[in-house]
Amino acid sequence: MEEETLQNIPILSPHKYPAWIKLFTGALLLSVIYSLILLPEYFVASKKFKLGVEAYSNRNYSSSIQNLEYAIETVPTSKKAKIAIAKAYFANGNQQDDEKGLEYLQGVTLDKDTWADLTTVMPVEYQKYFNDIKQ
Amino acid sequence: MFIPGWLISLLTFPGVIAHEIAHRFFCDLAKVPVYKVCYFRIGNPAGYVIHGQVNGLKSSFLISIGPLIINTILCALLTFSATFPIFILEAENYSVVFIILMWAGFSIGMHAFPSNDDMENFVQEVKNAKEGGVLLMFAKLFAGLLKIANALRVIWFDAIYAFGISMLLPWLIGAL
Repeated sequence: MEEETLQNIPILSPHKYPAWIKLFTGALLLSVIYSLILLPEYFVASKKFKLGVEAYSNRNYSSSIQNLEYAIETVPTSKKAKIAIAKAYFANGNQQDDEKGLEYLQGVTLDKDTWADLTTVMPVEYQKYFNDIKQ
Repeated sequence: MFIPGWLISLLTFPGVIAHEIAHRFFCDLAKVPVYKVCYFRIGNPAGYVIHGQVNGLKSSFLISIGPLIINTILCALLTFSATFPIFILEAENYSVVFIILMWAGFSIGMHAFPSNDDMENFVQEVKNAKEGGVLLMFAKLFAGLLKIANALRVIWFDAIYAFGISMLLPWLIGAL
């Protein structure tokens, strides 16, 4: 809009916003605060997940299980954590733990790569419990 | 998939509103007269701020780039906690709170880019100020990059940017 045309329009008062904009801004700021309040719990869970995966790579299965259990307690439906803890249970050499690993995989849909990775440690007799789903 | 711009704006309306608030806020900070503000409407553009002459490059820069700064920060903070269960831990079910935070954050992140008009105004201000050399080159380069970013919206570059910003803070604190 040209300057000449603008001269006919009244200038809005600075820093005076409509009530709904103030409400909107307030809601946004509250959402940011709430997001930051939730942060520590989920940040620690992610860190524990990462530590669990690293411990698994180092064949430190008990530490891996401990860290991954923490992550699952915070995010019970975490697919990644369930798969990782199942692998740790299968790989730890304690056959009594294999069933725990299987329990974590109940209801989890696995892609081909994850399935291939999982079968390297999953007892063969458990593999029959999984069905191939066509997509 | 082609989705009309007005529908995207409607679905991501918090981003449009935050973008215009940022423009207005920086106009007020820079003591630039504001004549008209549309925070949101169904149409093109979905929002606008009509302001008067900007005095000084710093003010011009802030008014043009304000939404990029504000929307990017808001996107990063709003999505910060929700990123962990949704993207990092891949939760199969999560609280509606996380869905709302992610939607608000993504919506705001998607509207972070200043419009081509905003950037052209800024480049014009640099030219008017007769600040040649490095500053003009920087302004033109920046404007060029943002024009490319705006053009790439057809392939959802604005959504890719929002996703990148949502992963930025988790990556910076070493959670990825």
